[in-house]
Amino acid sequence: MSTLAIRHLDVALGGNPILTDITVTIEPGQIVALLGDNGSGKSTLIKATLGLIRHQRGSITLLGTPLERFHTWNQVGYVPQRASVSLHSTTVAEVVRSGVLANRAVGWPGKADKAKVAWALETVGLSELAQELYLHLSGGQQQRVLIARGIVNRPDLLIMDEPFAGVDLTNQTEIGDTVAGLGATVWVVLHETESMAAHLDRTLILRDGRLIYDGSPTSVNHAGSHETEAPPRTPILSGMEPRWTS
Amino acid sequence: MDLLTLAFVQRALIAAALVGISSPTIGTYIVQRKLSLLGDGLGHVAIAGVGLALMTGTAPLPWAVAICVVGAVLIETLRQKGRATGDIGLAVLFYGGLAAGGLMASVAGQGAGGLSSYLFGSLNTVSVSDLVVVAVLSIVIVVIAVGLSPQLFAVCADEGFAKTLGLPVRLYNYLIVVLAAVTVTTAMRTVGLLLVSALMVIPVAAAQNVFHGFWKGLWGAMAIGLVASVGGYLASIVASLSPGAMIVLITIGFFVISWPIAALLHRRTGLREGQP
Repeated sequence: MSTLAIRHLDVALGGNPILTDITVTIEPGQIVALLGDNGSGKSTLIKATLGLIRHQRGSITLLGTPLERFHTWNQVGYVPQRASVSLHSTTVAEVVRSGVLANRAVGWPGKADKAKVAWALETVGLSELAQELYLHLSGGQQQRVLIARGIVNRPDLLIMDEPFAGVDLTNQTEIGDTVAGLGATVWVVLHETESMAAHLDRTLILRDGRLIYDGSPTSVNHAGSHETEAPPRTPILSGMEPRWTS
Repeated sequence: MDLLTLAFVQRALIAAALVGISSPTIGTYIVQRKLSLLGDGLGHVAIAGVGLALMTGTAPLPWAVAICVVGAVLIETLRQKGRATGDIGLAVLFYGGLAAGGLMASVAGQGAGGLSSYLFGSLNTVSVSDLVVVAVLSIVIVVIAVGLSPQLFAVCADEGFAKTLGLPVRLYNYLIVVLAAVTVTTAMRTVGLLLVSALMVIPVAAAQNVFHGFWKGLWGAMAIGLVASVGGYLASIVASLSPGAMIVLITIGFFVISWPIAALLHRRTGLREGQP
């Protein structure tokens, strides 16, 4: 059973096609990077996968269950680019604690949840800042808090949308090592692969809403062009016509 | 002290205490969602309910609750469907409710004067039946808002993330605005519909200045709301001034002094941690 299976997915927003005929399968334990230029549809694909955006065609299967019938959200962790709204006057521990509420429409977190929060904060190296206000942290520290929130349930599938924005390279590598060590299947949107290069099993590349590459890890430079590390079946994408891969 | 033996004063004190606790409780979520003026808009909608009650010669509170809840559900539906921004929705609530209320009060032959005790509160005229309704509704508000506080916090803090937790985000968003509507109407006999938003928002702002974290802020806001409401009412009867206005001004007083207290606390924390 694949951890994640997306088949022929089309997504349009406001009548404009954003994603076209996306097919992706991720097997258990794989660590897969999703790359692409700004506006290529990376975040839309992540949000559609999580059901945050409706798709018009195709299917999404999470951990063997179609998205429409998927309920075990404690098995899926999500790390957004940034917290989307108000975390005013909220401590780091409170932000992370909100992650333990998966599938709990009522009820308060218990002692076991406290231990989970402590573990998640320790994992991202923020134990000492647990009672600090989230908004008092640096951008990189805030991002690590969101990673802690995403991994607090020790998910089977961890989906991260540019989790390293604002994090310096040393910390990126440290967090990348930590995430890889969780043993989860990881699908991560990256701007550059350097931080997780040692752990990536596959790289996917989106361009203009289409998947143009699915294969061996590829390094990406700042200009958004994609240069091969030269495995035999990896195309040189920069300046070339997009190629479909199966 | 003799005043405290009077039945109407006792009823007023209990009503003030209940509203003083319940208003900031739901206000905490309203502030977190950056909808601080929602209570004000809903207060204007409730005026339509009061006008309808005056026109039909029935009790104002049930009408105000019903119409305010309908208005709250409507504005949340528009927000969720993306068909109206928060600003536009609130403007429709403000002017539609106020105009309808004034019109119906005129039809009832009472004009704007008939509405004034609801606009600015009338704690001294709270009846036993009023008190029972306020007590029941206030308890329901506090039990739900505190009992579901982890989930409501998650929804207000980061709606997108809350959806990925499998939480019923849409339901909770409706719950928050419905509870806000009920809070507004229960507060109309204490601080009045025009001032109720102050009791929902300002204790929260004061508590967030002083207390560190969401839950401490929630308890702190409830405490400030309680003290300001009871203290404001007692001050008003001693000085023979309007209770609603006095309660709100004392609440603002708490907000003003929260700044130097917060600065002092931060300084002490910094010194304890060896920071300059």
